[in-house]
Amino acid sequence: MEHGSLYPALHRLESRGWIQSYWGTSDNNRRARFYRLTRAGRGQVIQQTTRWDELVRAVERVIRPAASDPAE
Amino acid sequence: MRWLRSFRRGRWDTERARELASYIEIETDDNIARGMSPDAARTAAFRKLGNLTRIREEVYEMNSLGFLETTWHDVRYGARLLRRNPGFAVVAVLSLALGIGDLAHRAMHAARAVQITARGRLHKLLIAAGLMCLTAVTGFRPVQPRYVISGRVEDPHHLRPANVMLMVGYERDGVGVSYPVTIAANGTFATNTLLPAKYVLTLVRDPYSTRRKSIPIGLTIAHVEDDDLTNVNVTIRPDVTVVGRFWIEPGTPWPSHIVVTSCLGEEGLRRAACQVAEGAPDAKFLLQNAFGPRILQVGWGAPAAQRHKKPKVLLDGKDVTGIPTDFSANPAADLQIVFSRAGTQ
Repeated sequence: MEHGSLYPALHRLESRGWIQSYWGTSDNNRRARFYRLTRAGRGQVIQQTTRWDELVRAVERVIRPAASDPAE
Repeated sequence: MRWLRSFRRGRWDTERARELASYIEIETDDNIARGMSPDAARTAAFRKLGNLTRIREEVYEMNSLGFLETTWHDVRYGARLLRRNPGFAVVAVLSLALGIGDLAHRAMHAARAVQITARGRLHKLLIAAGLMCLTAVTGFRPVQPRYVISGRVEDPHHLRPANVMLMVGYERDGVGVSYPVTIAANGTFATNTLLPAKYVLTLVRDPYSTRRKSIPIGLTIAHVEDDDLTNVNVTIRPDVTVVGRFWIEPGTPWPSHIVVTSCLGEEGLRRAACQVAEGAPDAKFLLQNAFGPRILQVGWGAPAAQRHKKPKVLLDGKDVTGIPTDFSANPAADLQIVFSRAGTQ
């Protein structure tokens, strides 16, 4: 995956107000742009993580129905 | 807001270019630290990032409003073409002007054909606004005033009306337009209207009122059945509903002017009568309107040194000052408005 594909995604997140960017100095003393989560972004992360967890649990119940069945 | 971002997309693009350049520099440094030559390190950094122009284009498009920009480009392209071919431009503009004018003319005829079924003030405003816009944009007047309503004011009570308001209706009780008309010295008036009238409602305005919207003192409604009728003669015949007189208590100076107004019940919205009397202490006045007066209001003026008490209104000797009374029920009654000097009993 090319690193460049990350930038449109970052821009989209920033325009939705989920992340915030600013210029700073990197470890090797270079000027770099940093991104941090906003409060709305943090809420979005929790929401998306919860949905992901629910999806994983649902898939797990589908593909492993017999493992938790005491009758087996 | 996407349209706000669209205005700032140049700034966003510059910022993104600086960010990508910064990425290349950092990545090149890292590659050199891993033992690569500077040229190879830079090439590898570019390869890792991908197509720089495509990334910037993608971000730029995210900040764009496609439809508006396409339209703007089309307009600019059209303007360039017209500038190159002035002859074609003149023909195109003339064709458009003629087309729009013809369309407007046909629309007005269609409106006449259906006799404008639209009702109420909103429709009236919309039609008027549409015609005004059309005239402003194209400079073409789709409708010329062509219907004349003329009349003569009969003034048997010497009310000396200053002007007449003609409410010309295009439906029996629907769309209508007001035309203020000035009365000539010989009592005649005339005005042009855009469309043939279905009815004409006339209000004779109070000549003495200093209000911007003066009080109407007479009203008639003439129904017109023929669509193509022109030169409708409207005669103002104010209905005399109440005859009264002023009474000045002995020793009380005569007010400089007196205005009598009648209102419709508690609403007080439609005021309808006035008269000025001078000289004799029992001068008569006529209270005229078509609404049926129920409350009288009396206004008067006097020099500051000659103040008056609030005048009493007596109906057949009974004090009805400030009491809602239907004066029109008994026009033959003795209605008196009595003035007395301030400070007297």
